[in-house]
Amino acid sequence: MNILRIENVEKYYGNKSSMTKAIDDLSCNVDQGEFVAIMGASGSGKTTLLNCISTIDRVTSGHIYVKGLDITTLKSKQLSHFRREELGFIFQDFNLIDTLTAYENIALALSIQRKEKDMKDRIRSLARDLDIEDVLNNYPYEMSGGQKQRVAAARALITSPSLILADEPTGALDSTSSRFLLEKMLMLNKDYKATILMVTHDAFSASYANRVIFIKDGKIFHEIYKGEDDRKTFFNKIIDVETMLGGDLNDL
Amino acid sequence: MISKLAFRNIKKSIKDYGIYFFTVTLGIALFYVFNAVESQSAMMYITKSNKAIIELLVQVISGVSLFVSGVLGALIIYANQLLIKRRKKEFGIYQILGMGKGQVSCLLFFETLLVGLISLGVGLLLGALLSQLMGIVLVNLFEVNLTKFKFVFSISAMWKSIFYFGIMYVVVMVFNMIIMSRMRIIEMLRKKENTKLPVKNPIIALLVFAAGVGILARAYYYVVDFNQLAILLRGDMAMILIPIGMGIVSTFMIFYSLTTIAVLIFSHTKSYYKKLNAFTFKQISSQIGTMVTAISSICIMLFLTICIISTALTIRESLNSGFAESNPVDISYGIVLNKPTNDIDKVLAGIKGKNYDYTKEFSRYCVVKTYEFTKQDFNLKTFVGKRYPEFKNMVDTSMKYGAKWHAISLSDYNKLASLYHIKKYQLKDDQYMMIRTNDLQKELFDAGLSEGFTLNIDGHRLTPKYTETKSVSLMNADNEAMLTILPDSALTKRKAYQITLTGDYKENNKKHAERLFMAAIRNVVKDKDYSTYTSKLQNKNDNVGTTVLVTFVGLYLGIIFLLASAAILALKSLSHTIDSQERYQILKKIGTDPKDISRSLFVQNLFLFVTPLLLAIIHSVAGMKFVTILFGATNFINTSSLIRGTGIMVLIYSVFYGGYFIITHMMNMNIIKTR
Repeated sequence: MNILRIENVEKYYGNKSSMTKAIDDLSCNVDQGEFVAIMGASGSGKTTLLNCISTIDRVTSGHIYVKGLDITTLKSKQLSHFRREELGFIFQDFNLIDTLTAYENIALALSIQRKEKDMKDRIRSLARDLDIEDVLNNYPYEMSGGQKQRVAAARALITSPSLILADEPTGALDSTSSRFLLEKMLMLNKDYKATILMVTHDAFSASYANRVIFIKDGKIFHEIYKGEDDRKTFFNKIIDVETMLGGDLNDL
Repeated sequence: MISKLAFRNIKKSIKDYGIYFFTVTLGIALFYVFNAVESQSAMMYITKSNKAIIELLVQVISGVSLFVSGVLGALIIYANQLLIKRRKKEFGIYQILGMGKGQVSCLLFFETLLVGLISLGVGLLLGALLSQLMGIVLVNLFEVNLTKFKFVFSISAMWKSIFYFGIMYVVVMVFNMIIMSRMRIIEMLRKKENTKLPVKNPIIALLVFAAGVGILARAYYYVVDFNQLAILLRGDMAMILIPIGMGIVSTFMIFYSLTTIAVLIFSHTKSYYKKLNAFTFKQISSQIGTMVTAISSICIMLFLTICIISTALTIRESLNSGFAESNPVDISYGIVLNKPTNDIDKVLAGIKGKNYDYTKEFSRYCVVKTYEFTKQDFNLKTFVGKRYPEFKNMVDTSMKYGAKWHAISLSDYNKLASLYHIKKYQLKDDQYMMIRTNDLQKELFDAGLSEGFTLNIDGHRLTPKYTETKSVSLMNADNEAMLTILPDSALTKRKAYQITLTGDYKENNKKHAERLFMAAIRNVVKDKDYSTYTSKLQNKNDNVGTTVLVTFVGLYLGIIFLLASAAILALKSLSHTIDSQERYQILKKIGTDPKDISRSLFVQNLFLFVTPLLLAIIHSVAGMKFVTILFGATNFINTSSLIRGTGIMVLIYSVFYGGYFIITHMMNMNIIKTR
């Protein structure tokens, strides 16, 4: 079943005299239960694409369907409704509310939907799985980066959204925390059947996905599936594609 | 170049400058209005006594204005700091591009100057308009007629406003320069780090809160219970500072611990995790928790405002309503006769003839005779009998200055009583009684009566009917404090020493009627007689003078304080919203319903404005009770006036305080809109 269908999406910035084409006639589909990574250099349009899917930004032309609903035709009121019901977010800089505890941050996602039933139990069990049960009563400034990101992940998942969007989730983390987070995201994908769309420039992070889409200059450049490969093999394949582009994908 | 930049900046940041501009403009307008009182009064017909009042008013307002401009100046400085904070990043970018600190200060100088000039202009315009309104209020207060309506503009008030605000602006600009020179570039550009929430120990908070409430309750008890108050003030009037100090300290304690306590309670309720409640609550906590001093001070300022305005208005209402009570007739006119006589018609011939006939000019009246006791009739020393030692001083002084004592017949008294609609009395032929119109010598005369002093008038022996003097409200021509009432039979052999005409003019235009009467009485007094009178109209004028003074100064101070308090709250609220911008962006990103966000903003703002007001109102209840006790001794205030006065004050509050609240909410909403 198609959770996400992107059809001929184009996104322009600027006006007639100076126009930037961020996304150039892009189409692709994502099925339920997939863990997709979108890789591209800075300026390739990957963050713009994510913003369009998450309805933070609007496409210039084309359609995006989430669970069959054309989100490009929604009005702003319906958009925020859609955003909280169907999507979950993990940002690079965590974006937790600093005046709320971890528990309260996660609970927020439920309370804005008015779905507070069994809140305590649901949060506790998810927290256990994500290994943040001990810090539930801590404030963000009392937690490590890795813990904060896992709290964000819990917030993203607690409402059982159709799609979880992650924008460079390991960007602000050290290697150990990154690995830990990615393992957890993999667990969420396998055990909770969460559909995850992750934007990243880091091949290591991308290797945790089961499908990687490469974007260059607003177009889909290449796509590879993990299939039966183990993660290390998949990682090498990803590096090969990067090398094939002559290091263009490496934006560091 | 810099001035061009300044222009464009102002256009861009019109929204930011909003509340700043609004406050300054309003401040200037109010300042002008109150200082233009003198010229507004040129519209009215002024009597001599009113003129004196107005001159006094102008002086008082000038003095108060100095203080007021200090308050407004502090406010403007605070508002300015907020503006700089808002544009920190912008200034940082200027500096990183190479603009020197001096140049940035110069830029700020131009901007402030420009906004200052605009707000000065608009403020004066607004003030000029409002002062026309004020003119009408004045006319109403003085209860006179407009001579002519013309648009007056007070040049002196304008110069005063410009002068005071000029000084204030110079101070502000100096402040800006100091702030600018202190800030480092990195501070301006860097994003704010995650600040630690000031979390207070709950046990300490609980103790502080309990202590605060306890101290407050005790302070209230001091001022609200008459006995407690008497005990407190027995030694020294200055002791009143103790409950005041207790009140202030307890206010601080309460606000210090309030949020911690509230979090403790609220976080265990079910609704804490509903909608944005947890978020809203934490926002309120972080805001109030970091401005304990400010919010306590505002609470106290609001309390003062409520009391000042309430008292001023209540005094006005009381004076006006009490006036009717103590001035029941238009005029009381008495002729003191050199040669005592009972021939009333002869004495009043001058006003009972063709030129003027009081029986026709008065709608109702009565003429009474007053008699004077001889030394044989009445001796104060023997009157008090064996209680003389108690009242030695009073008696000796009275007798030394040859005080005379007067009496009136029962039927004459009852004539007056029916005119005034007060109680009539009955006396047997061997009884007498005494009435008093004020309490000055009450104890003395009550003592004499209770000793059963026997009066001997021309062979009639009279004993007192009552053992105390009766209090009566008479508007009498010679302001007698004590009057003896004798049965008619005892006065048959006596001649009156004074004839008094008391009554109401028939004509509706009382001023005209009185003028006629005053002209006519010139024909009455002969030879060595002299006359005296008490006129309702004249009393009214004096009354008006006091009311105007009190009302004006009260309103001026009260409104300015109110304005300052509301403005500070508004600025704090805006400042907090600016600091919280990122949080609102996060909420939007995770898909929070915009309605929930605006409701959260509204509730936060509401709490901020309402909490100090609530506590201030509670304080005021005690405060006003104290004021009533204080004034109760002089019969200055009655309850219905209190209610009416408070009612008007509530109206003033709704307009100013409520207005600021609404504007703040709108501006908050504007701030969180995605830029």
